[in-house]
Amino acid sequence: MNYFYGLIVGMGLFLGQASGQSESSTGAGRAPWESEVLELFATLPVQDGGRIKPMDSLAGLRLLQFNGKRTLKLRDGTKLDHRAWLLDCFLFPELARTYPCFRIDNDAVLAAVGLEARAKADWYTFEELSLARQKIAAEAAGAQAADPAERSLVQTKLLNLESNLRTFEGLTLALDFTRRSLPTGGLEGIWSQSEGDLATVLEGAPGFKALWRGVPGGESASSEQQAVMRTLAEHLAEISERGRGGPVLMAPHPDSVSAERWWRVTDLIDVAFDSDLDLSAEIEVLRGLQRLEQAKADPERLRTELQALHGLLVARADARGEYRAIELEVDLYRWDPFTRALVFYLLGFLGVCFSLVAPNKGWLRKFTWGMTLGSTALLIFGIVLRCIIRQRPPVVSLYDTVLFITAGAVLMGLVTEWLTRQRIAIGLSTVLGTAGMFLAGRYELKEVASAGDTMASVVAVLDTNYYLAIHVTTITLGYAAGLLAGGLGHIWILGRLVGYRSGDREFYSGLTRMTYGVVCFGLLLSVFGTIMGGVWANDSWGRFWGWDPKENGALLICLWEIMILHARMGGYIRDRGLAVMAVLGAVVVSASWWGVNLLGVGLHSYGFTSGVVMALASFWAFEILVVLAAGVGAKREAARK
Amino acid sequence: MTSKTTLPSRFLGLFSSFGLAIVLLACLFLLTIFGTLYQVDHGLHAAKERFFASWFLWTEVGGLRLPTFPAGMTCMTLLSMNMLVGGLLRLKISRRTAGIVVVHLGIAFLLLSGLVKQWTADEGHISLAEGRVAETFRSDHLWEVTVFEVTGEDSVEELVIRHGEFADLGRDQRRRFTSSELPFDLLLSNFLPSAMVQPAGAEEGGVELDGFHLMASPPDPEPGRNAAGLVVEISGGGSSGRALLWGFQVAPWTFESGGRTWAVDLRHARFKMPFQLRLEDFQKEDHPGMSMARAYRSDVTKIVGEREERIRIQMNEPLRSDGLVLFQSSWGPQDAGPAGPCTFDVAGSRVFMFGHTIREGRAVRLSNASGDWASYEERIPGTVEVRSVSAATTFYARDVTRDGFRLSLRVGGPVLPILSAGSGHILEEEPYSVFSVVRNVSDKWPEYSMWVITLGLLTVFVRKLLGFARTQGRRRAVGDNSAQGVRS
Repeated sequence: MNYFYGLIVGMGLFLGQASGQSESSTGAGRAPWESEVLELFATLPVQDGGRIKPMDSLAGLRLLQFNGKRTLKLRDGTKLDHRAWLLDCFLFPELARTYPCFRIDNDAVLAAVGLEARAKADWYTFEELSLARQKIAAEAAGAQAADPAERSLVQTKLLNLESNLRTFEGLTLALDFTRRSLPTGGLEGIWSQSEGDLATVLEGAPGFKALWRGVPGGESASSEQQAVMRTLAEHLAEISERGRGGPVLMAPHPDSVSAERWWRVTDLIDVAFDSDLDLSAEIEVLRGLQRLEQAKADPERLRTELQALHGLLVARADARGEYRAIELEVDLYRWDPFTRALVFYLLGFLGVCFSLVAPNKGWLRKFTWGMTLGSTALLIFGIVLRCIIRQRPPVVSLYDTVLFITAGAVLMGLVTEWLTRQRIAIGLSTVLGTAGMFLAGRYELKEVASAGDTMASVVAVLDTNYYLAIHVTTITLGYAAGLLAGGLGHIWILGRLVGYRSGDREFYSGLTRMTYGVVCFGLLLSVFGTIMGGVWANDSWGRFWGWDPKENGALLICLWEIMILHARMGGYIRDRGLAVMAVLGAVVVSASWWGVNLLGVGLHSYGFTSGVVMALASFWAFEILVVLAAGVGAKREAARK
Repeated sequence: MTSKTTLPSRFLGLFSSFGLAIVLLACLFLLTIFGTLYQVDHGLHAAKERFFASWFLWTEVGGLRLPTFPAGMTCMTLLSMNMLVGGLLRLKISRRTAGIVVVHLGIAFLLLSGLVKQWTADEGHISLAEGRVAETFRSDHLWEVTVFEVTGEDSVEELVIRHGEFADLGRDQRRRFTSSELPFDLLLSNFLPSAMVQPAGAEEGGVELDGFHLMASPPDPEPGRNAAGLVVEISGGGSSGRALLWGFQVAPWTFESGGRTWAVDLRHARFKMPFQLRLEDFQKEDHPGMSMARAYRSDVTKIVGEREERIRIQMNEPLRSDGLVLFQSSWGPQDAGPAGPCTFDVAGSRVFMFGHTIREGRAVRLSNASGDWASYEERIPGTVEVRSVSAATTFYARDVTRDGFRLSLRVGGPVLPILSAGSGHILEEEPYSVFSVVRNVSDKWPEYSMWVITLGLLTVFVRKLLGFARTQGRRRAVGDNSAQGVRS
């Protein structure tokens, strides 16, 4: 019992450990950000990638996209968290341009644009890369024009680099307008000062338009005034252009006539001078952002201004129902349940390894169960939070499938262990859990690099929670069962090969029964999921079955599992054959899960991916080796007899 | 005691065997893999036809077309028989096997629904601009030959020869078609599902006629982009003649017979709907700050005689009515811009054109006033060739710039000359909605079979799971007892 208290306390300490992350000083250029400022900034709502998300997510995702991590290590050794980094991009862009936040893991990319690489893989600053900015853009344009199937690795990476640089420019220019002073002298009838900030200029837009057009019967602009107006228009055009690529920061007032959409400064300028809409509610936010810039050198004033802006934007987003999950999303990334689950699975796996050496230690068994259950609970907790945030079922993107399949496979393994009590399935569960969470971490980088988010907006066909909840979850659970059966097959084959419990026939027949049971369960899920997918396709694409690659992938799993059962029932395969077919079943599952997405054809275009060929080929090669090992084992056993 | 195995029982044994089931499943498995990979280069339609909707995979060896592997139809038919004989007839029905019987029944029903669709369904699409009405839908890959008298009136009565009646006519194979309503016989030959027409002498091969070659061209993976071709001859009724018909041909072939003017045209097959459909409003909602569609929907009116009914069709919510299912499949313009979808006023008649015309490879859609649609692709940058579905008119857009282009009209005859009909300018944007249409009596059968199969599988699985749990419990109990025995 004491052990469990210890376990819970330990987990609690581990869970709480990272929640108090603090921002570090950059060591140059500015005072450290106060933690309250960072907290306020983190929970600011922002529109990015088709949804409203917290600034914390925007910062974390972009830094992950450029840097491969959510924290940034500066060259003087200090660490900067993602929120501090984004605040620097907004308020101290010159400083942010000196941060080494672009990871380039192939020196050929730099060579292609005439830059010198410091190492095969290293981090570079925007300043360093901007020396070849035009060359990068030109090379990327060439790569873009090439057939995607024939792009070289360097071309693909150049495209990514160009995209990252443009995104970074968008971030550093997001508040560029707050640092601009616009010439308004000579237009005293509209503006009293000779220079004004953007908010002031936009407030005078109606007067500007009237003077420009010339009011019938009224005074028209003199030639001097026209010259000033042209200069001002040029400045505005420049601000508009520079603000085009950044995140959308301005939540509209719910009662304003322009309440339909969030605003970029670009939109605001366009609308202010092209229409007669009342933009006073939007200009209020603009002023808040301008005051932030003015207060950035004074921590106390900055906190006050940020509080005011936070209150304004949160109230507006809340009134539109868009603030519902903002704080929850910040918490999701702060708690980081998936990384923690990986650690617990690893500990569980260590527990399994030690229990092989000391099988009679009861506390070790409890430890393994505790770790595995705890990590699975964390994993499910994370999945549930993602569901609540998106208001979607658990599986929408490929990244979701990794999380869900891991949870599904581990849970099935634990149920199998509970039924059999042989310590096989729980051991396998920890391995699958570790592998799954490691894969999730790796694929998160890829998904963020390609889609900009792991909770990205979905295409219209996926806008149905009914089918997403039933078809997608069932089919992915079918994948999980197929992988679990494959894992059990591995234990059978490799165990026999190395002579593990060689005289224990009951152990191996137990493994066979487990494998068979999991294959049966997998078939049930796969068949239901596949046909349900057809029913969905019948409602969205007009046909039940279209031999689309993704459909074919699901069919391959069904066919393979039906073959296993019929071969077993017909006596064509025995225990070893079942293990071999289960291992090959894992190959079929991986082909359906990842392989068909690489083909880049078919209606399931929202699932297309790239860059996983090597990983997939390595997995298949390993599985073929395992099958060959089964043959070697069979031959050796036959010789012994 | 020995038992004699008769031929029927051996036959029954073979057809009900697990071995045959495994072989057929393995064949289907391989077909699925290769059929999937084949799609990458050849497209879905070609893969479907070659691997799944045919009886054998055919390979040409020394000019001979030989079956080299059983294709989808063979495997699925034999599998159905194997399932029926082995899984239903020979299986002793008991509580133990009830679930398995139900599963096999469900799968048989599922395969049957596929077979019914394969043999009886009509598929196609409708493209409709707001305010326009459709009463037919158009196939993407089936063709038909129509014969009608040119009377100069708005409506004509057509005699139609369906795709299946001439699609098998290979090189130098011909078939005669007669009708009591025609004063002549029609002979069709040399059907090519994907063809191109070139001036004679440009290349060898194909069928040469009147200075042109009708030649096979590599099929486009998108069936809708292929143009079929064939040779038509008439005889009898005091007239004779021979002509090439091509899917992208500018006008039907016309000739005199019995003192009247007749026309023969090759076009995508059309299917009449039991109702008319008018698009009232098309809406596309994007994700905030993106051009990616979150949802798109069409408000339509179904018209039957005097009765009108307003219906919404949207993604995942099709219209099922009178044996037809209409799905919201696409929309246009995809990215409206200055040179994008527009309405033209050409030589006094309004022509509706959709799609960007100035970019290479961009599809162009054009309709005449009756709302018929056609599409063609830009082959040469800056020059777009567009063909309307209308029997007698083809429009060509030339000298394309951002501001507009010249629109030319050609009536019949060879490629030259082109009569200039005026120039087009962008007047307004007009969104259109695309519906996929299917007429399929087995539409809902797969869903019913899904529930049957799931019920059967659940029964089998739960039964096995409970049995497994009981056995494991007993084993553990035995293990505990023996452990206690050892201790005592």
